[in-house]
Amino acid sequence: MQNTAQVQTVYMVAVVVLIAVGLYCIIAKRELLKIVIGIEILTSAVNLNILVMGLGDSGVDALAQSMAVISMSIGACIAAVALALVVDVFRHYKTTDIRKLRRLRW
Amino acid sequence: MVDITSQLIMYPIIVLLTSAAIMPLVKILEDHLKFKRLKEFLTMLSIAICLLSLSILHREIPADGYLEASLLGFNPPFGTQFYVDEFSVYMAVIFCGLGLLVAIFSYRYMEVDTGLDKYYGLLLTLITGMIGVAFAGDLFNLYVFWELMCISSYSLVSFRKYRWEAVEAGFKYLVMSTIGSIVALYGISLIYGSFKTVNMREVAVRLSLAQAKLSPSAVPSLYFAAGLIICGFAPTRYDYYDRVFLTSRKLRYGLLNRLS
Repeated sequence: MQNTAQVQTVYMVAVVVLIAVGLYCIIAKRELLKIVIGIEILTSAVNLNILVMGLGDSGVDALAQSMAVISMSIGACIAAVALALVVDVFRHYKTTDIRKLRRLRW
Repeated sequence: MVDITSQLIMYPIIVLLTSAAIMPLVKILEDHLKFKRLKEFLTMLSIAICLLSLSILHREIPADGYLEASLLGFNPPFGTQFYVDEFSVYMAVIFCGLGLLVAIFSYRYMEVDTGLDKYYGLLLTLITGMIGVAFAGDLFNLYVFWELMCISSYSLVSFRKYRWEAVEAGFKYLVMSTIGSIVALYGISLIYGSFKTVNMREVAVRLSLAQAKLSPSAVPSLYFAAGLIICGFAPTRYDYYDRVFLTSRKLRYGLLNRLS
């Protein structure tokens, strides 16, 4: 019981670190691809958190495992759409710098 | 024995998803039949069938107020559950009605575009996602249908990818909305960690049972999780309102320019 709580704490710290790295990527980086990578890091962090929350004495709960797998596949779909949009952005703007995407205004 | 009334809940989702899945085949059939409007008619027909099944579903809702169905017979806390009351049917009718109007207006508006089988497929999955959000009985199911709606929405926003506006708007919408969805999923995972279930009714029952035993430190963490879910789902809603206001403003300027 004590051991499970310790393992949970370690993984939760890892989740917080991953969330911080992902948010840093999205906020600070100017490259579209790095922003997509940041989104994927955030998705991975939340998937890890689902597994940590399902951690018990007899391993990870089946519900947590199924939720993590479905969440991973949804994350892959989002990455695919995002990368397709990055390609289209490059075709129009000839750059993947987010600062150049400023034409759309009120 | 199969309970027909509870299976009625699935019909709108099954009809719309099946129509979306067979849309590429319909495109091939169109080419053979030399009838170019089959996909439009299929879209309108499937949404009309969906509206019909919703009207039947509305009559089947009992006096105590709700119907429920579990997917593949797995009951909560492990199975996926749909939960339908009058308000969910009301919301689903609004989504289907708007979808039908969009399909009717798209008949002429989209005829200059190519790849319309993808457009109508995405429109149908968008409506499926919205109906699923209204019918979802557990938080993770809600998230899955939300993402189905969002992914269709990103693709529809950037459908005219030969225009820079569509691509730029699509990417910005994707980044904003995905961050929101991830925050909501983080909140859902915290709720799951606290109650070991994501079923909304089960969470409510366990919370009311545990209310007396809750330690003072546990209450803020539950508020935090609920706040994450609300804040996570908010950006997508904001995007929708933003787009509606932007469109209305453009329309107003267009009308003023024409009048002057």
